[in-house]
Amino acid sequence: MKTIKQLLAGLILMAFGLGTAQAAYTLNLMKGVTEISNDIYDLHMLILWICVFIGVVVFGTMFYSIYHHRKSKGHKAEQFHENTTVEIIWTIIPTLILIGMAIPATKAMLELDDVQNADMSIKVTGWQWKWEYEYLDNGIHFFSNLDEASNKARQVGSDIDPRTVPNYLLNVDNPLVIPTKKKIRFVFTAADVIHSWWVPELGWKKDTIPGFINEAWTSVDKPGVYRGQCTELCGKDHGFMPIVVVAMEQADYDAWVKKTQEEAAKGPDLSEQSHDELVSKGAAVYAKNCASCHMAGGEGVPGTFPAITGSAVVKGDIKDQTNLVLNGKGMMPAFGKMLNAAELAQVITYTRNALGNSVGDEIQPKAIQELLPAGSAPAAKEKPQEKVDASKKMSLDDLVARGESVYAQNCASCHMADGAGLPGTFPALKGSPMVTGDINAQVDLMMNGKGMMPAFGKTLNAVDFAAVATYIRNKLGNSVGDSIQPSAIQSLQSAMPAEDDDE
Amino acid sequence: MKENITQKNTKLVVTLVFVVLGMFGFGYALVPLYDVLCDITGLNGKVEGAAVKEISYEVDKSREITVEFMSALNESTPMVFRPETKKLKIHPGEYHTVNFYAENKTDKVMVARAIPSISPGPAAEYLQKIECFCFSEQTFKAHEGKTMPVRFVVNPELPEKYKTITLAYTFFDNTESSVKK
Amino acid sequence: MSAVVAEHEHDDHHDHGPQKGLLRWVITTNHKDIGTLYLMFALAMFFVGGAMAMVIRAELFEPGMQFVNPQFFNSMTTMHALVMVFGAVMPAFVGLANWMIPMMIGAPDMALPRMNNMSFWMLVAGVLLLASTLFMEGGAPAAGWTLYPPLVLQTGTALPFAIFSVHLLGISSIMGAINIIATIFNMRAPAMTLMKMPLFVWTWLITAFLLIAIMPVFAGAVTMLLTDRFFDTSFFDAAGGGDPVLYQHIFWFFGHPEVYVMILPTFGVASTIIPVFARKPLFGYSSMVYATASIAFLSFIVWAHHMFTVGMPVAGELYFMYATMLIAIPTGVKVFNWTATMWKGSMTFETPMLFSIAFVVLFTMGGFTGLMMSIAPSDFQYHDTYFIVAHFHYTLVPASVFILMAAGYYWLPKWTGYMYNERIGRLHFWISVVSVNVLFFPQHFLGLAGMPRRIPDYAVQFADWNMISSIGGFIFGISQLLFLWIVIDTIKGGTGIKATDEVWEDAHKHGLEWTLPSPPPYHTFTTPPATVPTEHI
Repeated sequence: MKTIKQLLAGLILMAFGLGTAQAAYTLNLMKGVTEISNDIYDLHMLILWICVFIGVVVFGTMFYSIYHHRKSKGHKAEQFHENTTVEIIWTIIPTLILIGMAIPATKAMLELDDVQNADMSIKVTGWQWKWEYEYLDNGIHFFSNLDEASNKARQVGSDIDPRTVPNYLLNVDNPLVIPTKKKIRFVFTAADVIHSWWVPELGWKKDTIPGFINEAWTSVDKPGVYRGQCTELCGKDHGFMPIVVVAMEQADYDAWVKKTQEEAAKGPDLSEQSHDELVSKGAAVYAKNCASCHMAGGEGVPGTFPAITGSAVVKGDIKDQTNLVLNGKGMMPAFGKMLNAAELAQVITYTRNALGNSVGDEIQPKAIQELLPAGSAPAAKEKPQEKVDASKKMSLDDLVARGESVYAQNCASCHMADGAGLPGTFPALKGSPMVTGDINAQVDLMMNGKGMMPAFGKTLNAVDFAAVATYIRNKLGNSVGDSIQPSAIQSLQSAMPAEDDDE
Repeated sequence: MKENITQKNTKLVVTLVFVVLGMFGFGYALVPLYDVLCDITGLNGKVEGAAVKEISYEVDKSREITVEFMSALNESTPMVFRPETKKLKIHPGEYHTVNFYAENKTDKVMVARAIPSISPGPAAEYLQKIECFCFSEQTFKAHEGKTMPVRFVVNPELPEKYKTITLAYTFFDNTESSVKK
Repeated sequence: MSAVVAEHEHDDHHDHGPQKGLLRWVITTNHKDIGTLYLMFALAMFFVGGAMAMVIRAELFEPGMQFVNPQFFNSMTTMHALVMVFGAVMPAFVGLANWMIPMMIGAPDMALPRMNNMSFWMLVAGVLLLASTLFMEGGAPAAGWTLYPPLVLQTGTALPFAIFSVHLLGISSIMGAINIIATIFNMRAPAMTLMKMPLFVWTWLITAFLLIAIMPVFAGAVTMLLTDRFFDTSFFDAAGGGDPVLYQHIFWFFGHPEVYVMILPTFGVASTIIPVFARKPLFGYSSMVYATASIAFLSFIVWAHHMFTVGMPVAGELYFMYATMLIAIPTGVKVFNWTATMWKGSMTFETPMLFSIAFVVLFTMGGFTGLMMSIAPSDFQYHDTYFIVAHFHYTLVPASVFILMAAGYYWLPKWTGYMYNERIGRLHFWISVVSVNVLFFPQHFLGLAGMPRRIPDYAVQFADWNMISSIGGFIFGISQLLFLWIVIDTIKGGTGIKATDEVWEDAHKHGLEWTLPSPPPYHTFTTPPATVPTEHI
C-alpha cells in the first residue's frame, strides 16, 4: 500500500516536472493578440481560480475526513443526516459566485457580438478541405491549402519526421493577410459541410455553415503570424486544413494588396506546353488537390471516392473529363474556381497519362481558359468600366443598334426578349402607354425605378441608357420615332444622389 | 392483488407508449417550431421565403444603413453568380432594387435555388423583400445568363445598433432532385 | 401484455428454477438473468470500445500518420463514442437496474419480464448492426457520434444501417425505461414508499423518464437524416429550404439529457455505496432527490450550450449561458452531500469505496471544467478542442465507468456468493485512478494550447502531452483486464471466501438486497417484505 502511494506521488511529481519544462507553450490558454482574446483569457483565469478555490475547500474537507474519520483510527460514526442551515448556505454561496461570474461573462459576450462599424470585410468560405478568402473591399480572392511540406509528411507511411517540417500542419500556401489595428469583419459560409474557423490568438472560433452566413470580428494589436485550424469535424482531412493569419502594419498591408492585385491582373501563363511538361507538372497539382480523395496512387476509396486508375471518365472523351473537373459534380468540387488554366491543363493531362492510365492525349492551358467562367479569373472579376463619351451625338439608328444588346442583357429577363412581358408580373413594353407616351416620364422611370423595376440610372452608363431607352421606343413593336441623347442622360445621372460604392 | 398489478402495468405502459409517440411527434414538431423561433429571434439569419407587400413607410432620413450584397455557390453548382451592386447606403423606409447576375455554365438546363441568409440574425426580420429570385427555383437554359432583381426595404423600426446588414445568397444546384420530382 | 401471459409468467416463477443449458439465457425472463446478460454484454462492449480508443491513442502517440488513414480514424472516434455510450455505459446501468431494482424495492421481478428479454436482444441486434458497418463499403460512420449533417450524409453504404441500428438501440432503451418505471410505480413492497426508496432507484426513475422523453426525439432526428438522404426531403438541406443547424438543435435537445442518462444513475450508485462504507446515513436524502430532479429538468433547457459558436443571436447565447451555469447549483449540492456523508463517519476503504471516492473527486473536476465551458465567451476558445474531450471524459470515465466498477465490486459478492479478490481489486483501483489521470489530465493542456478534437494528426508542439496521454491510455486499457479477471475469478469462487448475506458491515440497514441470501435464490421477494431499511434516508 505504502509503496503504491509513493509511486503515485512520484508519478504526479514527474508530471508536474514535465509540465514546468513545457510551460511556455502547452499548459494554459494563450493570451492572444486582440482585446477580446485578453478579456477571454482574464475570464478563463478568473473561473479557473474560483474552481481551484472551491476544489481546495471541498477536497480539503473530504481528505481531512478521509484521513481522520476512518474506522482503522477507531473513529465512531456520528449519525446526523440533515442540517437545513448548512444546506441553505451551500446553495446560496454557489449562487452568488455564479452571479459574480455571469457579469464579466455577459460583458465579454456583448463585445464579441458587436460586428458593427468594421473597417473592412473578408468573406471566408470553408471547403473540404481548404479555406477560401475573399476581400470584399478590394476584390482579392484566393484559396488557402495545407502547405506542400506538411502535406507530404502527413501521408500514411511517408517516413518524413514531422519534427523536421517547419510549422507542421499549421502552415498554408496562401495565408490570410490583414492590417493591424483595424476592425475587420469576417463573414463566414461554407460550400459543402460545416467547418469552423479558429485562430486561438484571435480569441474565438465561428462555424461556417453551407447556405448561411455568420459574422465575427477582430482587431489585431501587433503584427505577427497567427496559426489555427478547422475545429468542426468536416470529413477525412479535417485535421489538415490549417489557417494562417499574417497581421501587418497598414503600410505593409497596402503594399501586399497592390502586389497581389498586380499579380492577379497578369493572369496565368497560357503558353503552349509540351506533353511531357504537362504530365510532369500535373503530378504536383494532383498531389496537392486530388490525392486526398482519389489517393496518391489514383486508387480512390471504394464506396466514397472513385478511382482515377482505369476510370471511365478519365479514359473517355477529354472534353467530358474537363467539364467535370471544371464544374464539379456531387462531392467533386468545381476546380474551375480554384485552379488556374495552366494547372487545370496539367492535372487533366496527368490523370490521363499516369496513375495507371495511358490515353496519350493532352489539353492545353489555352483551351481551358476558354472554358473557364469569365467571372472567376481571380481579382479580374470587376469588368473595367467601359469609357464612354456621352457628349457625342448619336443617330437614332446607332442608338437602336446599340440598345438591342443592352436590352438583351438588362431588360429581357423580365420584359422578355420580344417585349411581351409576363402577364400579371412584368408589364409588356409592346404598346405600353409608358413607352409610347412622354419620353421624359419613361426615362425618369428607368432612371429611378419603381416597384419591381430597378433604378438603372445607377447601373447603366449614359450611352447604354440612352440607347436602350431609344431602342424600346422604336422596336419591340413600338415606333414612336423619337430618341434621347447620352448627354441628356448624363446630366440627369449627375443630379442623382451618389451611390456609395468602394469600387 | 396480482390481477390488479397487471391492470396497473397495462395502463401505465399504454400511457408511456403515448408519451413516447408524443415525443417522437415532438421531434418533428421542432421543425416548424424552429422556423417560428427563427422568425422571432432571427436565429441563424433565416428569412421568410415569401414576398411581403409593398407598403409605404415613413423614410427615416436621420440615419443611414449600409446593406451589403454577397453571393456564394454550393460546391457543385457550375454557375457564375454575383451581385451587380456590392453595397448600398440607404435610409430605412426607402425601397431599393438591386440586381444579381447568374449564369449557367453547363450545356444543360439547370434548376437552381438561391437560399438567402441575413446577418446579423436579429436584423433579418427588418430587411423585407418585395421581389426576389429566391422565392422560387430558377430554371436556366444551357449557358443562359440572367440578371435578377431583388427589391427590398429596411423597416424603419430596425434597432439603432445595426448599421450594416449583409444579405447573402447561395445558389444550390437542384437539377437532379427536381428531375426526380 | 395480456393477463394470460402474466398468469403464465407467474406460474413459471413459482414452479421452476432456471432452464438448463444455453437456452436459459436466450429465453429468460428472470430479472437476475437479464441483468447478468446486460452486464456481461456491457463489459464486452467496454472492451470493444476500449480497443477503438487504443487505436485512437496509438495513432496520436506521435505526430505523423503511422497506422491508420484519416477516414478510418474518424470512424474510430465515431464508433468508440457510439459503442461506449449505447453499448457499454447505458446497458451496464440497465443491467444494474434489472438486477438491483426489484431486490431493492422488494419486488419479485420486473413488471414486464417478456419485454425485458426483448429489449435486451434488440440491444444486441442494434450493436451488432452498428459494428457490421465497419466492414461496409465506404467504412463505418465517420461524422462523429453527433452525426451532424451535411457531413453524415456523405457516409457510404453504412448510413441506413447505422440509422436503423440507432432505431433499434432507441427502442431497446425505451422499452427498458418503460419497464423500470412500471416496476418502480407498481411493484414496490407496500412498506416501500417513494421517499424511502434507495437513491439508485430514485435516480433510475428520473433517468427512465428522461429516456422516454429524449430517445423518440433522437429517433425522429435520424429518421429525418434518412429521408433527407434517400427520399428527397430537405429537413437539414439548405438547398430545399432546410437548415443543417436545425439538426444540431434537435440532436442536442436529445444529447444533453442523454449525457445525464449516463450520470444520474452514477449519482445513485455513489449515494448508495458511500453511506455503507462511512457507516452513516446519507446526508440530505431528500435534497439529493430534488437535486437529481432539478438536474434532469435543467438538462432540457440548456441544449444549445453545445452550439455557442454556431452563430446564435446574443440573447440566445446569454440565455443558454445563464441556464447552464444554474446546473452547477444542484450538482454542487450533491458533491457537498457526499462530502458531508463521509464527514465524521467511520470509514473503511474497500474497493467499492475507493472507486466511489475517486468518482466524487474526479467527477467534480469534470464539473469544474463544465462550469468553465458554460461561460459562453470562454467557450469560443474551448469549444471543439481537447479541453472538452478532457471534460466529458472526466465526467464519463472516472465518473460513470468508475462507479460501474464500484457497483461491480459492491454487488459481485451478492450476485455470486463469493468475495472478490480484494488485493487485486485495490491494485486495479490504484492503477486505474493513476492512469486515468495520466490519460485525461494532459488533454486539458492540449485543448487550452489549441489542439482541436477529432484530428488524426497534430502539430509537433502537442507531441509531448499526447504521448503522455497515450501512455496513460494504454496502461488504463490494459489494467481493465484485471477487472475482467476478478469478475471471472469471483464467479468461479476463486477466493474461496463465501460472502455473508449482508456482505458489508451493517449493509442490511441500508438496503433490502442485503437481507437476502448471497447468492440470492432465482426468485426473491415473492412475498413482499414487511419492513424496509431506512438507514439510507
